[in-house]
Amino acid sequence: MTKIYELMPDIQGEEMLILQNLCRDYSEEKLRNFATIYRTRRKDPLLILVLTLVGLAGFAGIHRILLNQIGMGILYFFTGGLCLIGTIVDAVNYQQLTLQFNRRLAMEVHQLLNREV
Amino acid sequence: MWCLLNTFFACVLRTFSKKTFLSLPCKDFKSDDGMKSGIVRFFVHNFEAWFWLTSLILLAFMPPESTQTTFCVWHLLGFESCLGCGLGHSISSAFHGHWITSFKFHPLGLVAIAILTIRIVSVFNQNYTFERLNKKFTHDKNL
Repeated sequence: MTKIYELMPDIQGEEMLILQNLCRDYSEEKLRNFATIYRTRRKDPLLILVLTLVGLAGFAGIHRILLNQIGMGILYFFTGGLCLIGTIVDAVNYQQLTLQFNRRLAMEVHQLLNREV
Repeated sequence: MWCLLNTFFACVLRTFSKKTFLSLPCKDFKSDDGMKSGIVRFFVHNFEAWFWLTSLILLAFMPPESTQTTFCVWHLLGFESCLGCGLGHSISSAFHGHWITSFKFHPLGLVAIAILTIRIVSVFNQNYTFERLNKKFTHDKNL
């Protein structure tokens, strides 16, 4: 029986715990399906961090738009990342931001697979 | 000044809570001090919401015209004015009831208050619903 961490070895920490919790009763095929779908739709925390740090150069808020928070993205863009404070906050908080997006995605994919059956 | 305070507060909170960061309601994971880690988790998971909340409250109590020494990087670099500082003044004067001054400082001031409030509520809401869902999943599978 394949484990989820063998299919997605690059995911770590709390996200992995959530996925393990979610996929405990999955069959082999379903697990592989889940892994492929989740992997393609998932956002990498590193990408978010890099895009956040781009905000220091004047283009703030791209990461927020990428994480489906359009309102916050526009606010960041037009205020220079809330006078750079928001950018610094997001650079500290990037793991949590990405996790919020990813776990929501995990739930969505889970529902998608269950509905299919 | 408020931004300096906030950033400092955030960093302290972040470093101290790293140990309990992994304490998810998972069957295989047992934390030694459940109650404490629960409270810390409540703070860390909603970190963003707490940050916006404190900044909004501090701005509400700040006199809108105050020009003390700032932490603003643009000012330190020598620029005359920056969009973010205008936004701060704008939010502050909006809280004090001066709508027109607020609009003059930064047209997005009122919109910013609305967006931040929505974001605060959504962070709390998302985390709450997720914890509940996760508990439900673990509960169902234990049966």
